[in-house]
Amino acid sequence: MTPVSSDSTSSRNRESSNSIQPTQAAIMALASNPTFSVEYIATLTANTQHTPHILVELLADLEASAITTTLTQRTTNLISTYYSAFLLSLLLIDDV
Amino acid sequence: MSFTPGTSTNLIFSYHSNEARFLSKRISSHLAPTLPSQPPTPVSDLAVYPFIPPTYNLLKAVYTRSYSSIYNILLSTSWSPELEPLASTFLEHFRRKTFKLLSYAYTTITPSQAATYLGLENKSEQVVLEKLIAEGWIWDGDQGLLKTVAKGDDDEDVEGVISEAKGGKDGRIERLTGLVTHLTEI
Repeated sequence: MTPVSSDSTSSRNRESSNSIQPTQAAIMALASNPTFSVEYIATLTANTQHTPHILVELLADLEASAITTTLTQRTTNLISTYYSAFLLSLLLIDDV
Repeated sequence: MSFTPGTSTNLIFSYHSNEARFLSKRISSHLAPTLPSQPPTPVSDLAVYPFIPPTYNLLKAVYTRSYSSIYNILLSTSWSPELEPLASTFLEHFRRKTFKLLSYAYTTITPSQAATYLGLENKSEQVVLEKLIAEGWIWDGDQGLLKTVAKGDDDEDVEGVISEAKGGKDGRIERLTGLVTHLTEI
């Protein structure tokens, strides 16, 4: 099991992990679903190195996953977090 | 209250929030599917997704320049740890930009109006005065007005906003996008 800094992950994933040490639970979650997860979104939003434009780009890459995610009680928090983060990031582009 | 020549009596923000409005439409079609004969569920009513309604309401407040609502939503929502950094950053930058625009658009302003624009309505007048005097504004106790002071390094930040609002090339794109957005809502 490898955290997001694995060579098999994207360069942006590597960038997002530079300043953040994910918890063991986050590493487990990222390993099983390396992109669309609350833990991954948390690493994106907590990374102060990301400009709002980069954040929007990274979140936009996840929209296809969001749309194809089955809406269940278990995915409610993920969907809520994702879309809210996306909207806030778009507002930040205007403001920063 | 007085205004510098050539500026609107309303603060002008050139938020490019149309992308966010388009996203809210996609959210609605994803999360609130209904029969064709039924009206779609408003995004603001998607309470099962706890942070989507306040975020959507924040977007609406920004779009309608409802300053009280913007600060109220940002400060009263219990954001999750994942969203808290974004909400805090937006609050900080929105307040800073509004302060710069106030310094540019107003020569004098009442403490209560400044408090409304800066999300300090729940603070006492004394606290509001202390904060703004610390930022360089001057209190005229006789007239009950704060004299704003536009710092030199603010000009560049505000210039682009005013230029767009007056119809610069980016402003034209903004208006066109707004029209398309409006048409999709009809």
